[in-house]
Amino acid sequence: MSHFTKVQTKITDLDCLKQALEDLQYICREGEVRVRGWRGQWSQADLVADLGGPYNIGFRKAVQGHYEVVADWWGVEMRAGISQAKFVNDLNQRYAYHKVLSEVRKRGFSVAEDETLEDNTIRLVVRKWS
Amino acid sequence: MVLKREMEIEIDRDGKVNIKVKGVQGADCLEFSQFLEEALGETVEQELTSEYYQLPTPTEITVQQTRQ
Repeated sequence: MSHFTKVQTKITDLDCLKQALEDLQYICREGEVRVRGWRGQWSQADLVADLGGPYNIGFRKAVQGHYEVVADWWGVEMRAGISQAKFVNDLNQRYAYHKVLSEVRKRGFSVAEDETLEDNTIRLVVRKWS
Repeated sequence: MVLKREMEIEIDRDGKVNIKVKGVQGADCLEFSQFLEEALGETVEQELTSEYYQLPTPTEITVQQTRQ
């Protein structure tokens, strides 16, 4: 073993973001989309996840290149029962999973193990001969 | 010689990613997983383990001591 690294995930890859939202059973819309909030207020976004009600959750690309989550969380939690913390954590985990797979495959690794542990941690072992 | 190189990757419930590199000695191992760290986000912690210090080539180490 050589070293350990801990990385805080930042969402930058739109394809992996869409795959993560799909895993979490959200239906997404892209393009000129709006995040809806209280009393018809809205804000522009690049991607939205529909919640089947008046509120939705949006994603907007920040100048630094990562996607920010935009939502009227009070409304989302009241009407759809989704808390910001749970949504963001679940999304980050699914996003990181797809991003890891996509990056290691590009570099010629094969996936030797892929499992979800009892505490819901995802464990992957990737391998390469050189 | 063909070497098997592995990474063990754990993704926590909040999306924090722990990467362990195996089978890569010395400073090369830092580069080995760098692409993944950069693609994912920001490295918040890094810990070197014993294999890191098994340097592939002899290295001269100079120790400098200062006294006040």
